Amino acid sequence: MSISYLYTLPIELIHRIIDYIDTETLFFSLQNVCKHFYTIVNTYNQHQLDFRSITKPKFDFIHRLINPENIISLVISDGHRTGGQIKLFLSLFDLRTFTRLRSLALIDVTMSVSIEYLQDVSTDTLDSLSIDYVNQLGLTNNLVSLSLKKFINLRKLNISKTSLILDNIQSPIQHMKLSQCIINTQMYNILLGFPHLETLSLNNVSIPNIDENLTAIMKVKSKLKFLSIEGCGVHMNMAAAVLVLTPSLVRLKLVSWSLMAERFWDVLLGKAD
Amino acid sequence: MATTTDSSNTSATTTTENATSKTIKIQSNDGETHEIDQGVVEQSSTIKTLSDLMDLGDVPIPLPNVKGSILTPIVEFCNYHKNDPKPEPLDDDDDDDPNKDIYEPKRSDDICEWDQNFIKRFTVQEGTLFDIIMATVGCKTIANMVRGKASSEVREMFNISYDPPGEGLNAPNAIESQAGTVPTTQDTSATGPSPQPDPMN
Repeated sequence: MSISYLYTLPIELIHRIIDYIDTETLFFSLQNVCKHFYTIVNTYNQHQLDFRSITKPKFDFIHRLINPENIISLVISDGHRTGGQIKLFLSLFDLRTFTRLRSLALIDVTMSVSIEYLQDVSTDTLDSLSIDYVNQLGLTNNLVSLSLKKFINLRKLNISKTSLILDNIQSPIQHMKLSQCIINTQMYNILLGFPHLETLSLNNVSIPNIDENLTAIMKVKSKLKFLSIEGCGVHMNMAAAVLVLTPSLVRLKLVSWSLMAERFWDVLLGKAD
Repeated sequence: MATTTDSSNTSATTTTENATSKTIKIQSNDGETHEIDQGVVEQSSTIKTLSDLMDLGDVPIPLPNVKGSILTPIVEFCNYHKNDPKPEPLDDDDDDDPNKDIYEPKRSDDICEWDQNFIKRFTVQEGTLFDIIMATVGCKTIANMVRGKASSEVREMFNISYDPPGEGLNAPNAIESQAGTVPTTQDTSATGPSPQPDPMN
């Protein structure tokens, strides 16, 4: 057989295939197959680059091929196999040139470096932000709250291993996941500050206990549909109080809870009625 | 030779069951004709546009790029999926699963069992996989086939003759062979004035 049917596909369909191909295969395999694919990969403008498992020689190669305007998603990591990658990337690129970046993930990043990143990232396009700090629990982090005021189109937030200040925020975020964090804010303030929140996942999060007297008078119009609480950092009666504040809740996931207070069941069963 | 196939046998909605359901005929480039209902029409922007624009009555809509041997399974696929929920937009803005890794790449391992069995009928060797790709889960399947393969394997898999895409940097295998040999600090500003062992290697 002398013809390749892959050649006959319209370029839009090959782009759809590329949507599902990982960064390493794309740049070290597909792009080298032939001139046709080299051109297609070069002109592809929906790159979702994930450098979590990219060794430094390959990182050095890929970074020379990157056109920042064609990157819509970026994952950079200082993990055990990729140490130094986050600062290296910052030294090679002006983040302001990533004008179409919609999703940014920094893994094992320090507070100071994350500040450098977030000050230059496009504020108009970013809709997903994930920061996995290398344990920064001892440092008070107001960067996240400042960023929430800056990234007006942010809809997803994923933060790990830091001490968060979430006071005085009005954010359009719909999906939030906090892991191994210390939060300074009571739950009803979070629900007030994030009125569009639909999913909230708290994984081993320490949060102030809720003032039950306040839950009765708080005018919280939460749209929360999914709540997941894992670990013992959240007080039982607070979970019960949250149920009162979240009339739209349809899924509740509790993991690693040894005891269920009587009031919790009362509220839950009342909700089911 | 023209053949006519009534593909509505797998359809849950027929003209007898639903008087308002409109059926139209489509014809492959080798004359095979299928009668399809609105549920199937809705899944093909091409057919939908044509049927909206033209009132052809009993005259089938010609599909000059589709062979009969491919059109039959396409109609079967569309009949199976016509009651599926409408697909979400390509961007994942409305993903509400908090357990999802928000920076994970698009999944291609979520092809349902029916679709997986369906796609097995089509092969790269015969070119039928590419014929069916326009209407089915082919993009994810091709991506799964390519993932982790070397350039030479991709060329062999898809019958692509070697056509050097570039010189120097882009020569096949050049990069793989560089791994571990490239200086660890190409940009001194990245690692400070004193080069140190770099764990990225």
